[in-house]
Amino acid sequence: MEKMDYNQILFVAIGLYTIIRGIMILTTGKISAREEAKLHERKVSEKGIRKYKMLSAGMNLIGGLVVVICCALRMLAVIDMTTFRIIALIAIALMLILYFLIYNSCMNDR
Amino acid sequence: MDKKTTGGFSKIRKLIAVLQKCNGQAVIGDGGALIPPAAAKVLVYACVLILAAGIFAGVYMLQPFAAGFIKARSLTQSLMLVLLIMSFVLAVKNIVTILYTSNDLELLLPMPFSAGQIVTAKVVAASVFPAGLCFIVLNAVCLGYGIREGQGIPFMIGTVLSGVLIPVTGISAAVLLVVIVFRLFGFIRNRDMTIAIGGIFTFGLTAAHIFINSGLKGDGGSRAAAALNVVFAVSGAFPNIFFMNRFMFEGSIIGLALSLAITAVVIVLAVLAVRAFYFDTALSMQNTGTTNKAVTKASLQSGGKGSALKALISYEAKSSRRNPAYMIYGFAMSFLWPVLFALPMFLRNDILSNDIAIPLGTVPAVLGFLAFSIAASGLSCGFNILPGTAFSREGSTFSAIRALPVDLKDYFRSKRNFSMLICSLGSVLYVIILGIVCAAAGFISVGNVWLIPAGACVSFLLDLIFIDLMLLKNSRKPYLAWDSETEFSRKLGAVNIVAVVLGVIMFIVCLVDLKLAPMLDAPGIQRMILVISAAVVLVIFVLAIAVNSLVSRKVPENLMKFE
Repeated sequence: MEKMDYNQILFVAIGLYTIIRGIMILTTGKISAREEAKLHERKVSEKGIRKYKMLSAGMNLIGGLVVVICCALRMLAVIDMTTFRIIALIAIALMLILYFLIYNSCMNDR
Repeated sequence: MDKKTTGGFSKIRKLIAVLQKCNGQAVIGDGGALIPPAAAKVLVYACVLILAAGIFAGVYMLQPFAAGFIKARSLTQSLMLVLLIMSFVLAVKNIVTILYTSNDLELLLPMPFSAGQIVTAKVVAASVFPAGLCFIVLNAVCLGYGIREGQGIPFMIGTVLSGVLIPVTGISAAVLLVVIVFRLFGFIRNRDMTIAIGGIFTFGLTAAHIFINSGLKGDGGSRAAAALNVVFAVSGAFPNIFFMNRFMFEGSIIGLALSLAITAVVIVLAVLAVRAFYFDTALSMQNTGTTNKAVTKASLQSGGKGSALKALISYEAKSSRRNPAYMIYGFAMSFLWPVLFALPMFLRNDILSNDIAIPLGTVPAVLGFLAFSIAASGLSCGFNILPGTAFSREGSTFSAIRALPVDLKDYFRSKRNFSMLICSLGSVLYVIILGIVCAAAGFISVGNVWLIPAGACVSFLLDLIFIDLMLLKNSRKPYLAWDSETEFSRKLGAVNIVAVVLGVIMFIVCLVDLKLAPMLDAPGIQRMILVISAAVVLVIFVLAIAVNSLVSRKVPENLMKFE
């Protein structure tokens, strides 16, 4: 096991928090007041709101899992850093593109 | 169907769910959930189980590495103390919200619930989260560590029992405290109490941190063990934890009985306090808590015989305390900036303990105190929105006040004096307390104790400059047409930002000074630093007098001209 530094602990904590947030959105359907206000302001339909909540739950879960898995891979040193960075960059880019595609479709669902 | 089965218990359960929803808490498997309610519940239970198992496994695997310097007993006892305090703090926050500030009693009382059912539901709604958290963390950590270390049956029983008893004790103590504080101090003053308690807590935390840090030497494991020992020693002062641990590690049945008895006593006291005090305090708050009282000439003269200035200050104090902005500022003042100060030291323990020679020489002490006083003043005033919004906060009553036969100079002074009082609590008082702690811990020598009052004076003068400037800026164009007072609590003006930036820079200077202390005692640098420090103090002194006399003339003029 490689020497664990404080950044790794911070990242794992952020990842776990994000996963918990995703699960909470999934099980309670509660998003932040600011997001609610934004959806309300743009007069998004019920279906759109549901899709938006699904999206944010999914993004939180996947994002958190990715962060935690990346930290685990780094700590266990099973993958070399260059490959790791390339994979991480591609994953982030793909996730962002997907996120904005669904986000726009939610916001236009009136 | 037997109607009696849907009696008391299920009614309370439903009421709890309603209360949780009404107070903005998320309810699992609620109508808004994205998956079916049953699936949501299963998912949450599974996640909690996985999390607990994860903590358990992690602690179980790490035990052999930590066994050399952390014993199961000190770990258990320390963790119990931490969880007791945590459940207490979380419960206080929830109980204040759900029992007192939720404004729902008028709706609940006519409903077919008994008073006991309403209170039970409210307390349960407030304590679900702290109790659950304590139960999971205590059991996962202690069982993981204890099983690997080969502890016996009493340890297991004690841990599981404590998982229930510790949060119950914490929550009962919180209920007891909140109910009594609200009964004694009422609503408006209670905010001040909370802020004062918060401030004292932060001061205490900083002082304790310095004392502990000066006592801890060594590296990694031994330092962690030393820190744990400090917590362990403190936890001995809590009898329920102390006796429970005697049962867990020495098999003393009397210990178990005493621990249970102590918890029972706390619960009984809390129940008695709620029965005696809750409903009349909560109902009286519903009538007076949120209404704004109109300004009258009589309210301005509430002091009776005192001068106009005194009456105006008392009016300013009352109106500010009713303002949500005050609460937010109070929170920032008491918690935020001292935490900013303490944070780097928590992250890098060696700043205070290893590198510097104790006590500090005269020159590093002078520079350190000067920088710290300026930082304290800058941060305390920077986070303060009261002077920057002093005239805007009046809103529609501004014209009424202008029409009253009061000297506008007195009006300005009342605003300035009250702001000075509030800011000085966060800066001057903090400089004095920290100075005394530093002197007691041996950071500064007895010969340099004069620095404490000197630093406090510098801080006071700088507070005066900042507050005068903020008042001047606000008097030029007060914004009176606001909808809600909370609008102010989010805005910081330009003077605030300058103050915060200055505070942060001076704070860094203070840290650098501590780091470089041995080098600063060289004769050449020594003289230069002393001259610069004296010049800075002189400039602050002259500036404070000049700004104050200018602003005392300018602000009444501005207020007179404003349409």
